[in-house]
Amino acid sequence: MEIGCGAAVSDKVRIERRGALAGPKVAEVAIDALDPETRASLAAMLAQPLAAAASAPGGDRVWYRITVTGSGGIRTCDVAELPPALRALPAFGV
Amino acid sequence: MNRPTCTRPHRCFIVPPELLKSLARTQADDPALRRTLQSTWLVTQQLRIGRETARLAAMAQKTSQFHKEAVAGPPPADYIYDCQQRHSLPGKPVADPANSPDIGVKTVFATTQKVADFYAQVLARNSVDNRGLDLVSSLHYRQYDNEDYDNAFWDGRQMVYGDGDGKIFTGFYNSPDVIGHELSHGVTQYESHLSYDGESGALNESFSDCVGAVFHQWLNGWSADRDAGWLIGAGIMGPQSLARNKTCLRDMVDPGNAHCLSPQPGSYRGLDPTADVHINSGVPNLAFATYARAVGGNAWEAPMQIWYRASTGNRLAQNATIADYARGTLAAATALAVDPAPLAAAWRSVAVQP
Repeated sequence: MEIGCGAAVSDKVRIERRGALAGPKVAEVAIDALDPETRASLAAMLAQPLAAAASAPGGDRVWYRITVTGSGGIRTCDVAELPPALRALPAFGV
Repeated sequence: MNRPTCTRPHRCFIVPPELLKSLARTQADDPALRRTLQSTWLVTQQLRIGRETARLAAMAQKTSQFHKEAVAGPPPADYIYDCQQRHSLPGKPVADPANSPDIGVKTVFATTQKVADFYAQVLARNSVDNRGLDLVSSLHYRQYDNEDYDNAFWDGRQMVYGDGDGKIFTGFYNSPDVIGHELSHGVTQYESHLSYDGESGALNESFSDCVGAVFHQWLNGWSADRDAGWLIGAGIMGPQSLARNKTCLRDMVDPGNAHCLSPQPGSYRGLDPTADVHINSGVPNLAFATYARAVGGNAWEAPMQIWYRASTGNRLAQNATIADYARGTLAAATALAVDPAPLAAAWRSVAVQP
């Protein structure tokens, strides 16, 4: 079962929370651990052309870099918004 | 409110966009009309975004020519809004922020005024645009319902502060250096157009850290040898962070120290070109702190004057490197008749050859 763009269920997704005043945070999860709705959202984001999420005016605005690694190679997209299940992954912690 | 004048033609809409959206929702029995209204609304929104982007660019281009001296006129007004834990900006206006029972409102109101005083007294600058732009701050912001907001940002027009999660972070308005940092992103927007990625993004972040830290020192009358004056975000650390001895976001004197929640490289050799701009800013941050402590006294004197001159007046290319910036600080020191030798030594100490 594929989520789109050649990313298969065994693939890993790495989510980097970037741009925040407090610095970056990173999380990684297997795609098959995500619910179908989140997988569908992820596929839709990866299908979009690379957006200039980091180029919005201002400073310290949060954006996310998503990298899927697996059998389909490496795919990356930058987005300003994430579905809740993915958004919670790179939360700040100590 | 005192707003900059935009000389480019405006796109005006007779039917307000929100009305178009509302009409589109209610025209369920006429799909063609509904599609037309939806399409018009989408186009209207795109035009609004385009207009705002162009307005910001025009403002930045127009105002940068005024960098040499503060424009005469009244100081900026200080407006506070309450987002009431929602994402709509600017939120609900706070009528009398100086006497608000909300300690966050009072803090942001007072500290924002102090930053404007710092700009005027130390940098001879009238607000973030050097033309007296009113300062707008929104507190208690949340990007999503029911999710704590661990951030503060400058959105191109105003400051926005989250309340933090109460564990890792408290309210992001609780550190004077953070308030100075955010406002100084506005200064960069009007003065240098640095790209917000790679080394230029790190320089953008570093300038905000430098001004934020020096503003904090100035506010307290601390000289450059006071370690506490070089911590970024010490006031916003929550109980869980403090329990684990994470006492700040960043330490400009010791960027790799374990007490930093977000440690940074202290040498150009440790730079990762793909890293977030808040990581690589550690290199120019350390160069600034090293120089300020080497010359001693108050960092808002020669060190801040040099950094400010190097960072403003379109002296920096959009994709400036840290080495470009180092050379700019040396040129600024020469222009200000300051001995460049300790400055060059500070840059070399972080493996940057100016």
